[in-house]
Amino acid sequence: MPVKNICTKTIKGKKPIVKPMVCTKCGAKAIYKNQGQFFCKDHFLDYFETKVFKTIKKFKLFEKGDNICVATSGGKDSLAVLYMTMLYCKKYNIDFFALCIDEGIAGYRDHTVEDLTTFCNKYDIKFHVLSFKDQFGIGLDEMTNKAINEHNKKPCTVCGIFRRKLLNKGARDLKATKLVTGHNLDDETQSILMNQFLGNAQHNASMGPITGLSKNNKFVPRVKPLYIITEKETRLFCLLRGFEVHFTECPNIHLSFRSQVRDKINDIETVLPGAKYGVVNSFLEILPLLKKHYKNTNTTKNKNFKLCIKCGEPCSGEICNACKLESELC
Amino acid sequence: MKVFIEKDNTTIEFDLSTIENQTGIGLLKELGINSNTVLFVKNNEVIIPDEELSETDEVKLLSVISGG
Repeated sequence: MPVKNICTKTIKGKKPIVKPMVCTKCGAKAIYKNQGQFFCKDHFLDYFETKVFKTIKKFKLFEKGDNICVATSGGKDSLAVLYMTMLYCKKYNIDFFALCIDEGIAGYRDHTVEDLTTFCNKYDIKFHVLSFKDQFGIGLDEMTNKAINEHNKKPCTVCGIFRRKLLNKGARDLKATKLVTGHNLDDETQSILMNQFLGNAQHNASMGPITGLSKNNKFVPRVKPLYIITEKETRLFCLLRGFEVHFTECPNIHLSFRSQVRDKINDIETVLPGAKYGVVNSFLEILPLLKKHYKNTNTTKNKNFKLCIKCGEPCSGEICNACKLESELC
Repeated sequence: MKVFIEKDNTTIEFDLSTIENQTGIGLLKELGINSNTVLFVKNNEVIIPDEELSETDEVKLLSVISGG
């Protein structure tokens, strides 16, 4: 029986408008609304899972014969994407496993790794952990002061460069054909606009639901099943599915440009609901042109096939950014 | 009314009568919290923050932003 759940809004001092907040599909009490549609718990879960499956199919993120590596941290996005990958892979008989990078951020990553371990044990998912400490000799916490004070580098930059290297190398060593990340609509909107603000159109060319400009057997293609899912939807999904997710914000977040962009976008979304979809959808329209343009430019062509002379990983110069950083900080 | 703010790991006492619009949206506005950044939980149930509130409600604002 539909729940009587009434919202009253006063507009310009006129009589309140009575607006029932019930599920558009079944009339039960709504817990979420998006773009004029209301969802009860069951229909929200159905909406979320259908949307992720559609994204995987529409952009051909997974194929028969793939060995999927899910990059996981134990946070909400990675647990949601790991769960959805599990559902999809079990349904279509595709191999998958989880890979976690432990950067060594005290009071942050240790909690999420704990959540990830519990999760993988519960669902019987194979998982591997690679740490900065094992790979580079020290963890991010020990690098941070030197990075900021001696090299004027933000910890997020250092973290991102080392994480990308380890994820790609780890996935490749484990024979993965695709690397799944938990990037969502909010992340993508932020990245697109950050690249615009910074004048990095070429970076945008390698983004999208499948990253990279061209195929290279040293790179494991990255795919994003949560591409059109908002951050809010992911947290709600985790909550309703009963996943243990502790709130953990990276202690270095206040130092990042991303956090400022994120706050501005959320302000715009409040006055213009659907703005995030607008940014990403219009980006998807121009993405094929960007890819075509940058694939054919001389600079990109030459950069595609270089390998770092120190570690052998693909890079754009003689030495990859991770090796440069390693010699500065480790 | 008790309001738990997960991001700050704090619980505050909030006098609902001090705001004109006694809904979740009104509360978020008063606290300066963007509704896109939290899940609104009232008496242990997720709600759409347009709902009306009463002084006896227990509210939790769960942050949807994590990571870096």
